[in-house]
Amino acid sequence: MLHGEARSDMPNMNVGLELVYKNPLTKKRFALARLDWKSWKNQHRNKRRKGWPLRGKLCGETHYHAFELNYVADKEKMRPGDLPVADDIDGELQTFESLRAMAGFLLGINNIELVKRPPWEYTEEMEL
Amino acid sequence: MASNPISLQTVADAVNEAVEGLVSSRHFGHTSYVSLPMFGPDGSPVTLRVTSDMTGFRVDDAGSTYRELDRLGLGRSFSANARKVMEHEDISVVDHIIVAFADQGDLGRAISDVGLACWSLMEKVYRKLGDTSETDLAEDLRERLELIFGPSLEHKQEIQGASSTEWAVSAIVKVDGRMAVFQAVTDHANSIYRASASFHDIASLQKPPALVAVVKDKEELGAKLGILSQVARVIEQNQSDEIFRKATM
Repeated sequence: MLHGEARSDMPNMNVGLELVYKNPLTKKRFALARLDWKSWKNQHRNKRRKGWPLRGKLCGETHYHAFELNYVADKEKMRPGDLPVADDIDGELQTFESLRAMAGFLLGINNIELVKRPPWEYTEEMEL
Repeated sequence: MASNPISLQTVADAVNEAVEGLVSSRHFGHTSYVSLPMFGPDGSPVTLRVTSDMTGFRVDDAGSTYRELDRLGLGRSFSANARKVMEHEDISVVDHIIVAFADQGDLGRAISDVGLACWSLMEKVYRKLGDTSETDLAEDLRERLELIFGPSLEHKQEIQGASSTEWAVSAIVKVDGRMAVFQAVTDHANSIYRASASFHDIASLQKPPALVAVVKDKEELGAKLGILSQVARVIEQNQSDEIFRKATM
């Protein structure tokens, strides 16, 4: 399923759109791929584990946790953690609509425009 | 062999640059956000919100620790572990937000304490996820085998070995007249040795079944993997249905 999160008190930033698998038997969920846009955490840093791709890379506030980077093909399973490996994306996503379009492209979703703009609450403080 | 020495100034500059990247802060009006050199299971830094309070400062995680666990169905684990992680600290949890109050003098320490509490909580939950008990592993295994083999999965979960000992096993499957015994095994020594003992005894039968040890991660077994692979086929719980079918042959 497609899962998205944003915070009402952080307009025009901190949106995550991800594909999540939910095991129908155990009800356990794990993420398969995620696009983080203007994360309030400001950055992402990959682990420096032996054999992992993009070891120790520091990514910016917008980055993509690709399935291919987090899936271990010869073991047929995901790397431990919550999509621990990410990479920067090409280009800048300035608006929510551009983020949404990029998520549709990366996650292979044709009708991504069904995802509505979050009901952000704008305050004077956030505009500073 | 000649090498290029790194000058003291270069080391100092490199360290200064690295340290500057370890902690960062951003400010929006009356709210500041501090990112600490502690990273969650998703690789993002633990980040805290600092605002002014009547008596000084309020430091909290803006509910992000709970949100990050809850989006993967682990919200209950937050509540179950939060108190244990924070019992000795002057930190509280209000509406799933981890929070502490400080004055100017101890603001830095409060930021460290709340950050460490958030990190410890996530670490604890994720470590438990990886440390699946044998019972959990066996339950997941039976559900998986039921999907793959359907009625070929037997209700019976005991089998007699050559020594006449009755061994409890996770599952028995009968396909085309062949029998396979599946045993869920964790990386704990007791689980490995018990499975090994039962496998050796069952393998000594005149017509032994296929023996399959199902583990979470072969690498985590380290050298003990050899104890199982001497007598059984070892597969990981997340491997494909085809691997499970082949294991019965």
